[in-house]
Amino acid sequence: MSRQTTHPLDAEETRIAAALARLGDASPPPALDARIRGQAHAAVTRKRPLRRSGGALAAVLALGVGIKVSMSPIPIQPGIVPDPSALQDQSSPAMVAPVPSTRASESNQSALEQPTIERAAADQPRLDKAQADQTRRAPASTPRAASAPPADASRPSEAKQPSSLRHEQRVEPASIPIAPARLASPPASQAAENTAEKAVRSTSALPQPFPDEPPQRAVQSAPPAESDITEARPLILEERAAPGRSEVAAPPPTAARSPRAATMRASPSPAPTADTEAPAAAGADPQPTSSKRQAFGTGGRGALGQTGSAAKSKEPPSDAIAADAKGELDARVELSALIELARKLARNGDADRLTQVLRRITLDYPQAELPDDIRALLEAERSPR
Amino acid sequence: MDVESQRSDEDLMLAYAAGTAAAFDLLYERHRAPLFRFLLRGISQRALAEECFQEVWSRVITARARYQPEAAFTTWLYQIANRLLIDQYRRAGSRPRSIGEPDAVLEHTPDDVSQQPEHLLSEFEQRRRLQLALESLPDEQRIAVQLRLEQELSLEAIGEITGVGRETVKSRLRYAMDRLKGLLSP
Repeated sequence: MSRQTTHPLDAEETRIAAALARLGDASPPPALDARIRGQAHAAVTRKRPLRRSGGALAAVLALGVGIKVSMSPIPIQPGIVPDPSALQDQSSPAMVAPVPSTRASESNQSALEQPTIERAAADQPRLDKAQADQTRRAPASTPRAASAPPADASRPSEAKQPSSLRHEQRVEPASIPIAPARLASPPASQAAENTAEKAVRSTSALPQPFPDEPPQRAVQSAPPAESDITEARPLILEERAAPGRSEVAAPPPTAARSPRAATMRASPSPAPTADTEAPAAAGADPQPTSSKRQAFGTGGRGALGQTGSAAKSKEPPSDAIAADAKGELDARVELSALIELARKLARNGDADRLTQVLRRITLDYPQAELPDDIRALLEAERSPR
Repeated sequence: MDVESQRSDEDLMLAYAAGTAAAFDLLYERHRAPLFRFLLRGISQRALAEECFQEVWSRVITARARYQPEAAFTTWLYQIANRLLIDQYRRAGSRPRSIGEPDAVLEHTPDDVSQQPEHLLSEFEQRRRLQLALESLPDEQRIAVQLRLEQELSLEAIGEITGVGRETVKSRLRYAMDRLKGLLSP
């Protein structure tokens, strides 16, 4: 391993070396020896913090995410309450759910939600009828659509999709039926609904899941009163008391502003669609799609979506799948951060912000599996004060 | 312990880099005295020599993970020491002289020297002259002589330590030896 570094001295060198040796055999003092040895021993017995700091690093990252979420404003739209006409549509098929992931290609959609598609295909005649009705009614009731901003260019054209897939995208059960509860809310907050719509539009980069819908959902309105929130909350409990009526109901309006949330709801697809079929079979669907969309603030995106559908339809499917997966991952991260924030706020006793965070969780991730403590917080939040 | 003591410097250094503290003790025991002598001859001030000595070993400890056994441990160790010496010379503007403090060099006089006063004076004069001869050498020649006569290193190893070629080392040694022989001759 080592090379020969020494070489014997010749006679002359030996003589001078002996003279040099007589100059003195100096050696370091014992204290210095002890200090150096101690330093050497400490160096090899010292712990290496970087190798064992995985947990600490993860904790720091989690803390950073939590701080970032807590620093960012939470765009909760208070008092999202439908108009009275939505009350008539509770038995209609749920055609108001947003597209799970607006960037998903058809193949990706079918891979994710094949059972849902099959069930939706069974409902196709009814849904087509409802859609036709909604299309006929839409222009007369939507003078606001003229001001709708341009929609997301990444939205694929729904018109090019198979009808069964179109319906599948709209039929999505909600395991936490919050939005239907708003159907029973008083009609006092058309303005609140418009505000929600406005918030959705303000995130103009978000995809619009209903490109074929008439532009009746364009929103201009003043922010609702805070009392709208408190009025809507008991209705959620009311809806929970009668879940069979609207398990299929549309997701809340804030779901539309978050494609990640839509993706998250789409991918597990565990919820049954039996509830979807039940109200559809009842046949009471005089104004199904438009009114429900209006009620939950998801309408109006149809017109926006049509604007950007052509561009989106050119996107390769692989990109769409990757974007879909990224959206789902982002949604999970965001949900985790929201849960952590809710826990923190609960610990700190910040009731106002906790209410906002819980509402955001409920609205953005209605189908997410929530931890028990968060569920308990939600229940406590819903209970009448 | 015998098996351990027969291990090469490089093995011991690798073992120490892997976390065996006892390997360092062996390594230190082998090289502490020659290294200290090398530094003391070069600096001639004991306090500075001790400071440099500790710094050399600190660098060895710190750089243990980067040690590559392609170079001999002795070469690596004296490379560090030589650089520290040169840095010390640069800081001081010139090489510190031992004039005025001969005791720092001569305090470890062997005990077997004859106790006769004239013999003691002769020995003292001889060592004194050798010390002065060494200090009068240029730094490069003095370092080459020390590494050759005290550590018995080969020309190649000295060249690696000082960063010059074998022929340069050979030339420096020849000039230094001629000068020492002239100064030491009666």
